Amino acid sequence: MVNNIPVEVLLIEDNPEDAELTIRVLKKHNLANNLVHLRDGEAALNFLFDKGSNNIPRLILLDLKMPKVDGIEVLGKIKKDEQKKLIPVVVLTSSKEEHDVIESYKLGVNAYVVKPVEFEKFVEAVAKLGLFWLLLNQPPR
Amino acid sequence: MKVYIDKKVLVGFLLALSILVSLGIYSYRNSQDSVITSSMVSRTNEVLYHIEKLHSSHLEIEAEMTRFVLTGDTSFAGFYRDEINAAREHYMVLYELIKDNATLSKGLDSIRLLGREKVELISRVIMTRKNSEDSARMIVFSPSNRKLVSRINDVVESMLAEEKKILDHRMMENQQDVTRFYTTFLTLLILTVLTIVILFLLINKTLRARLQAERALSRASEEIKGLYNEAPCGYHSLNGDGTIIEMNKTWLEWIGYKREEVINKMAFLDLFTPASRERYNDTFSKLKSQGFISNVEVEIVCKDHSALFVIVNATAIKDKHGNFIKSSSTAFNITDRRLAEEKVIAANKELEAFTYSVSHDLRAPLRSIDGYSKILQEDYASTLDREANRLLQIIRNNAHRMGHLIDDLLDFSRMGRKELDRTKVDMNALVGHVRQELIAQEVNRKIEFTVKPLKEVHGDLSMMRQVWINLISNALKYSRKQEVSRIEIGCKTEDNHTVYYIQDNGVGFDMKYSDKLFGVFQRLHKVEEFDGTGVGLALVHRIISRHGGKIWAEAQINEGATFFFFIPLQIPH
Repeated sequence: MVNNIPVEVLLIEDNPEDAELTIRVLKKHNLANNLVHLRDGEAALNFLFDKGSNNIPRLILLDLKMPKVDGIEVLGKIKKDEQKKLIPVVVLTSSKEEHDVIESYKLGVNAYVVKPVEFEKFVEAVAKLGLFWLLLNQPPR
Repeated sequence: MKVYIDKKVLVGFLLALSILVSLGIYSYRNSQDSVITSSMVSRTNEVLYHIEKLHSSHLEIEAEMTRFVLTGDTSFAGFYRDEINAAREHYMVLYELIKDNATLSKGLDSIRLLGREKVELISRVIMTRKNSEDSARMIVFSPSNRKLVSRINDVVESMLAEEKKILDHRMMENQQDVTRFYTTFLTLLILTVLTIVILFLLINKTLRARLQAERALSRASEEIKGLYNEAPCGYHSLNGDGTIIEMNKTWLEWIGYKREEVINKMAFLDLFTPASRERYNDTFSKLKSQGFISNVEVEIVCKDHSALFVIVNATAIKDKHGNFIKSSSTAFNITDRRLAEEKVIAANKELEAFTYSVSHDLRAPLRSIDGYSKILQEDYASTLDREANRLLQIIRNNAHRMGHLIDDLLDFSRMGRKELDRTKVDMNALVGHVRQELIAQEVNRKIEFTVKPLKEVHGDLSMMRQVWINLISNALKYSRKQEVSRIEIGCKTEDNHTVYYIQDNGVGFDMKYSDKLFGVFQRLHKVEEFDGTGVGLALVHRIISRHGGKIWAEAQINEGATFFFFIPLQIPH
């Protein structure tokens, strides 16, 4: 997966269908050129923090409920790292729970988006956040 | 001196005392009177005595004179001189004794004059006898002498009669005095005895009443002691140092100590866990300063080291100078409640975990169903016929519907777990905002929306907001088919409650199903007619109930519906 082209989007999502739908939307808008999909928090942490790896994606889309290491923990690690905390992290989850929202913001999440059940709304949400964070937003460089 | 005696008894005592005092005074005065009377009587007897003596002197002189004339015995001269002297003394005494009595004084004066005549006669006789016995005898036996003797006798007789009359009179008076004294004395004595008898009865009655009162008191105090000990709550008292000086049986049973191990031996502090001890120190000084403490929750360590949770209320008992004497404390055992609360908290946590996983795990597959159906429609549009498209749309509609159901169910469950945060809520502003937001979503509709002035309510703002959102949405939804939708919101006062209402001119419902109106997933209309999950009114009902209020509705088919609710100032316990 790792090649010389810098990773644009890191999608951390345990549900393969949700991942496929997300990727489909991003592709439709030409936003998934250098996208990496990881299935759990542990893999995400390895990808970001392994020795020798210097992966700095332009955007991280993070699910919260995942096996092994959950999204909150991954978010915490990213935002505690001097270098990685500059990466915009958008939580993309099914959870509407208040404490998840508050906890994510306390850790420094850049955006929190609840995945709509209705596909049209889901498409709209993913497209908007992809366009915003990858095209409209000016990240620190 | 403070008097504890009954007023009636006191009056009786004073009466008896005054009778006794007047008895004494009366006796004293009476004895004074009788002394005077008896002295008068003895004086009268003295007068009589001296009159008799004068009389007898006269008679003896007369007799001796006759003997002298006949015998010529010269000793008569000495005898005569002695008798005359004695008579003169009697006269002098009599003169002093009777000078206040005119009759007697006059009699005595007559005796003096007659006596003088007699002395002259005797002198003549003595002189004559020296020369002639016969001449002297002539004088002695002369009629004039006989007349003189009889005159003296007459005067003496009359004086004696007069004095005897006085004596009789005085004796009679004395007798009357004595009789009166005895009568009065006896009357007063009987009165005293009567008073004392009445006093005795009164005192006896008072003592009997007091004894009965004492018995009743001791019975009552036994009963109170029983209540104190057997009460379902703990009672205790602490002195100024915080040492337990009284504790009832219930308390002792809770903590498992014996009375003698606790009373005057343990401080209340000794029973506390370290955390509670910290709190208690403040509280005890607060009790002393402000005079009471209420609803202090403390954790106690029992003798067997088990935990006991109690709520303590206490009042400070102070002397008249405001110094703390002891506390009067009540303790309620809330251990069972505490354990139940812990169970509820654990159950709530479990429920929270469950709803969390529901929200996550149930929504993801629905999204896939909807998403892949849509992809199928998009990517295979050319190969799928119309029926296939229709079937796919049904799958998608149901996925949407289930998504809504899950969302509403989660809202409903969240509302049950959420803490009430009561504040003053301005219903006018709240209804205004909600109405604006909801009407903005209605296009191409004629809506007449009236909001009358609404009283403020004491409730949770976000929940109140949810109530109005659901009620106004319903009113808008069910009046959709009317040409002009009419909705009115207002409030009125009923039985000291402010009752809010929202009325619409929509399709209404059949009142026989009104009991199903507020149940979860209960619907009175078909989904095809009016969309919805059947959670909205259940949610409203839950919110109103959590505020201690009530909601109900009145409706008729095709005549509209009115929903009423009220929220009390405080949640009734």
